Amino acid sequence: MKVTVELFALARRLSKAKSVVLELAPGATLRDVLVKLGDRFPALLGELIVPGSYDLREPYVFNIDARRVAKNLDEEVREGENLLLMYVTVGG
Amino acid sequence: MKGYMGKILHIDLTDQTTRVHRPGEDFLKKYVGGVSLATRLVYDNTPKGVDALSPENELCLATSVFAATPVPVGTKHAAAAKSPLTGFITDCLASSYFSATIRRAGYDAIVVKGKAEKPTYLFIDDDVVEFRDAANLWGKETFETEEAIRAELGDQMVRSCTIGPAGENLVRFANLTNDRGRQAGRGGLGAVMGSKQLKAIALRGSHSVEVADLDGLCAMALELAEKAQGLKTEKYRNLGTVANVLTLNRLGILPTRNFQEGVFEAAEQVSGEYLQEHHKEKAVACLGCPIACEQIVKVKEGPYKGARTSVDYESLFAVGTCCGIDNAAGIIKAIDTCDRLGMDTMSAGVVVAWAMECFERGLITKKKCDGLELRFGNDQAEVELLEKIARREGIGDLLAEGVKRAAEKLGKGSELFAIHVKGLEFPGYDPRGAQTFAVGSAVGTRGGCHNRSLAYEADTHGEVDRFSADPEKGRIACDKENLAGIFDIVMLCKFIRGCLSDAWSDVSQLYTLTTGMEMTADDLHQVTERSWNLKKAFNIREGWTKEDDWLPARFLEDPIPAGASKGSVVKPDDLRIMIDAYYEARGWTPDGLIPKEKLVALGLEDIAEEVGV
Repeated sequence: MKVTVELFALARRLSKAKSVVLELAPGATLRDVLVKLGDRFPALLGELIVPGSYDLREPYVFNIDARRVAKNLDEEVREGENLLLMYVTVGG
Repeated sequence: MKGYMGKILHIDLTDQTTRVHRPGEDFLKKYVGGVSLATRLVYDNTPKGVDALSPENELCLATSVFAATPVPVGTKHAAAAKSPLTGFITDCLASSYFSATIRRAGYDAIVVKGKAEKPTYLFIDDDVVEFRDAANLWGKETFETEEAIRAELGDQMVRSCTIGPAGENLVRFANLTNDRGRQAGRGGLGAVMGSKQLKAIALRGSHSVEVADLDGLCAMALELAEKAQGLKTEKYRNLGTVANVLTLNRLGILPTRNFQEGVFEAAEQVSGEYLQEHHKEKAVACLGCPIACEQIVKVKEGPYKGARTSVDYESLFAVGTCCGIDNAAGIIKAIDTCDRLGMDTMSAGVVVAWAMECFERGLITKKKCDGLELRFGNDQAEVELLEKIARREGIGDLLAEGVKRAAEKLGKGSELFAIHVKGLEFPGYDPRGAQTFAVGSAVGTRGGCHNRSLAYEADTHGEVDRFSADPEKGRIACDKENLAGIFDIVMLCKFIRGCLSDAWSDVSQLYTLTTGMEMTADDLHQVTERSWNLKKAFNIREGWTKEDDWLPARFLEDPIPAGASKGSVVKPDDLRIMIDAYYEARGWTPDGLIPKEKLVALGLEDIAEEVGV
């Protein structure tokens, strides 16, 4: 199945891409998405993606279809979803 | 007394007198500093029902207890008074060298009342206060004024808080500027200073702040500073808050063309990413800040060549997307213009957006607009209009009143799309797609405000379903206000909160190390709650009613037309339920009033009879 990852801020700067379409096996999770992203854009490893564990560094989150923030990285993704790798700054 | 200077300077411009009040430790521990201390001073020194632009309205500057200490991001001050825009209290935050110099001059706070006979500026040099002629400064822009004062006094170390032409002309959203671009922005404190014929407050000081446990404080401060240079603050350092343009656009809550839409088709070309690539000069920091979030941008060519300013999200949305401007250079020029003239970019942008919608709907003519083609997207017209507002020329005189008064004067249904709460122009998050912020922004004591509320954090960080309305959101809005409150009282920049393991316990520890006065996390909760209730008490005294806690009609009647938040609206019944829950969480009556016993429990028994029920 295919999902689209949209990249913002540092994710965009490091990857030099606004979005990327990834091919994933059925049942793949958001962590699997990060593994794929790390393969595709090694510059993300360390800065955004923790090597080895493939956790996502704060403050970045996955927002699913711009409607809701994923609770954790074990969430399964679905065909055609848009996964926004993003954050919102608050305060000042 | 450790951690405090132990002096509050009162200045009367009418008779050119000063007096020093020495508050006790109990008072200082009770109100701590910043917004809380400023609010208490405003409450005590401002007569009930006073005209905000009269000599009797007192302007209070109160420092952070951490100002001029080793604590990072703590060198800040609050400025507060009755707002000429809302008629309620406004409390603003600014930072850097001016904040530190208040303390170095020997004061925790400065209170100014009265009205000078002629344009005047104050020069506070430790214990000496001079009332100096400002005739040669009157009419100058903010940055020019700061430099001119330094030149006149022959000392580059003098730090000033100034007003520009907007403050002189009593524009109701004129601001205070210090350190070439730090602003106490919201609610019109610049007009308060202008009404007193006070052009600037200049400071020089020779004192230092004595802290109780210097080794302990330095160790904790160093640890915090190191964390603040790490990944947790990278988002502020790299792009700054303008990173929000693209993400909020994608979420469908980026205010566009006066909040008619939540998606701006040209967001990419006015985004933080675009500014970084095409206009960024450098990032700079306030005094004592290891984060450096301030993004300095410059226009290198074209009609706005030379325009240079710092840009943050709120300014960008207001003069940019809210006005349909797709030209980044035009946005930089508009922000630069506001900064130099001394106007709040947020209010200025939202009032211009309202005027543009009026123009496009045929409610105001080109002739009425002094020949300006005031359509959305016309950056040249916007820049010209900002100049007119600051100088109250032509249609600028109407807009200088703020969007609430301007709409009331124009009528013709324009009140329905005047986007404000309590008269304060709305910030850059469409509450239709952020329902926690719907309640948070409706109940704010200073009006439509993101920074005092922080409720949109719950919506955008996935703590709640941002589209649904339920009473829990009222309770969350209260919690978020309290969290914001503690940062505004001790005056740590909110950008550092991700570096704290627990805000309440870490801040209480910093306070104890600084002052030697034991402060627990529970004590801090009490201080914060007291501060919020005192602000509300001031507003009640000035005539607040439940109807003031509400949102503009557009958010209640017009669903967002497109994008990820398409179809979202704030239903009035839902808003009422969430507001009721907020009042309950605050321990207030269903009418939003404060029970006397609540005030007594907070140590505010002296005002319980006056405002309690």
